[in-house]
Amino acid sequence: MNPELAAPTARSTQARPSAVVAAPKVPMIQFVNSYRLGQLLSVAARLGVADALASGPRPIAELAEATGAVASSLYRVLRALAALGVFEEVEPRVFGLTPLAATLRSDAPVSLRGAAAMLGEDWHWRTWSELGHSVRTGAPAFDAIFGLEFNRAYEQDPAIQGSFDQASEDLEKLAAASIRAAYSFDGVRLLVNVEAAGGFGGLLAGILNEYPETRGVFVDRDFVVGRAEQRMRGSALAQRIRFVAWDSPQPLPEGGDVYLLRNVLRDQDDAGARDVLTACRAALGPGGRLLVVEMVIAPGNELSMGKIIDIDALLFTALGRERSVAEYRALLSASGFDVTRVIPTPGPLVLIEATASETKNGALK
Amino acid sequence: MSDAVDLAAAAGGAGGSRADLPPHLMMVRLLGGFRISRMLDTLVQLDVAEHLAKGPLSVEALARQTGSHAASLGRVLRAVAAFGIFSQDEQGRFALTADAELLRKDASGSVYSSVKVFGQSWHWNMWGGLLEAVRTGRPAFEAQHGVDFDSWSAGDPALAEAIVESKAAMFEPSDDAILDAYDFSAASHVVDVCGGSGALVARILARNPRMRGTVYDRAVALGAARRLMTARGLTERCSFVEGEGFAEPPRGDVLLLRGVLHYWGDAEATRILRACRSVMVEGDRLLVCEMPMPAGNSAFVGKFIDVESMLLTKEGRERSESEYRVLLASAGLRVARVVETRAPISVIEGVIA
Repeated sequence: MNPELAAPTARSTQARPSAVVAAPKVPMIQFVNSYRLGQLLSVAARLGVADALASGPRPIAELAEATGAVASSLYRVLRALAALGVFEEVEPRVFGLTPLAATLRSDAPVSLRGAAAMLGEDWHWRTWSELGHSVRTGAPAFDAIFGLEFNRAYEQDPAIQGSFDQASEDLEKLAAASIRAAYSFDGVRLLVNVEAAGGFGGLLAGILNEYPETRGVFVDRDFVVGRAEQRMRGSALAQRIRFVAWDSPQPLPEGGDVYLLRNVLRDQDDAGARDVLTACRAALGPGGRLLVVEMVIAPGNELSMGKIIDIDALLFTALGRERSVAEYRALLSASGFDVTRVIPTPGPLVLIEATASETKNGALK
Repeated sequence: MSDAVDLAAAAGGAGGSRADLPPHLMMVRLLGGFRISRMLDTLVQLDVAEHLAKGPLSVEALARQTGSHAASLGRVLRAVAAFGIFSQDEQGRFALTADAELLRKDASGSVYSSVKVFGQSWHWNMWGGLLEAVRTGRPAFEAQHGVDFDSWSAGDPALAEAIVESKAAMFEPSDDAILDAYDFSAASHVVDVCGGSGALVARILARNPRMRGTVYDRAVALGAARRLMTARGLTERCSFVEGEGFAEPPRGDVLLLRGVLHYWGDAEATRILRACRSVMVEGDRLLVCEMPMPAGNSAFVGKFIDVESMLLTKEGRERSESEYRVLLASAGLRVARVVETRAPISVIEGVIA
């Protein structure tokens, strides 16, 4: 076969069929071929190329040596990435960082190295290859390929755990940056952060660092909480954080001023989400607030990252799904909450703030 | 950097505005892009675009007709509709858009046949082997299958045919660009050496009514070429000769080598060129149609095809113009001129040195 088969040669504007809407901005062939970019970025991340360039541009031979790659092959990968502004060939066969490439450094303020690395990992790439299975059957492709649920596999398989945790910690930092810029925790004495295997308390720690008067409770599944506690042991913050293992629909720790629920509802179907919210409602102290942090589905044909990440939920979970703001409102309302604010962030996340509704306690147990 | 970022955003399927985003949010978008590829593959597998050709359908009706799970299909359609591929109306029905049309097999500029090949699991998994390939220098395909792609695919006529078809569709825009940039009118007999479906020859013949053509290729490609020439009413002016690239092709005053050399290392590429050279007489032209690699960081598509070559072939690669000059010289040919086209492809005109 001829490798040019993979080429977006269709760059010229072809005559479009009739009944067209506005001319699309991105040629279809680039959408078709975008898997290539995904793997290229993932390989750069897994090799640690950006870290190896942290102190300045290096010749390809040296870079290959440092990252355990074959120089001529690494050159071809980096040349392709440089064509997209990720890395730069500063002189022949010498590569350096660009602002985009710097986001793949492990020590970047918001590093995406782990997220990029995970994308191309065998378990992740293979699951995406079987999207057809999920669309035909409605069942998670992951379970069909590996013969067990993702959550169990995560607990049992070190390869999955390692790459998933690193990605989660990246996305946790990204979320932390968005949340801290968009929301004030002034006056909050007790912040209860409920998570679903999305890191090890980094978000909570970041907020507590900024608000020295606030204490925190970190809530997640047993398997995650134990490790979070271990990681934070000995740090000054550990004094101000209580670690609680929890699984829905168990009751949540009581008395929090703010319950910060991140990526928890997206793992649940509507009934499960209502259980979680009902537990929050029961635990909420007087005047307390609920802060739901999720990606959302934008209305109509509008673009939102939630619509894309929703397909991960389809592939990896039996019940999980992203929802629209309207759907979150309905869930909250049915669980005894009134939405007080919907706060967009520059990233893919939306913050939905709610308080206990005064009139409608019907949903309470 | 902004051009590159634009292209990056596009390649990532990111949509929306670009350079005003901080780099980490831009990177988040780039990392999301591969998902769109896979969703398009699934929609092509289910032939969703074809089912919508007669008009919008509810997701339930569409799921019934395509044998899929309605809610799941709806989620995938909703995701790609965010990028203008399909659209959902107020009643929740999905309809074709200009981009969704391109997922239909017979649309002009269709990507259907490319997706049909590149969506196959051997191809998806081959890209999944990129890390290993960069660590070892060994082509991913061979590492995964124990044999090279040509041997592996030889026993699969359906795949071979799908590849010929996708190649023809893929090449169509650059075929046009070649015809507009290069004047074939002085030629009397054009021979396409291992160029696949014969689509380029068909176009040249259609524009030049006195010219004769020959398609020289393996049997599977000849079948497609015969069908094409029949459909275009060109069989009287076109002959078909079976053979492979390392052997002497039939002589014509113009020989075409389109997208052949980049599949091979220097030694094999030189053998192919020598075989062509051996049938040429003074005044004949050999047209090497390839994508010469520019220097620097430009957003040139050949750089991605080059990585595909690295995964698929032992020594295939994209070359710079000067590397092509050296290659032709090693086969006793001289580059008379290089004609650029509006597509990324150029025509490197070789004559006897």
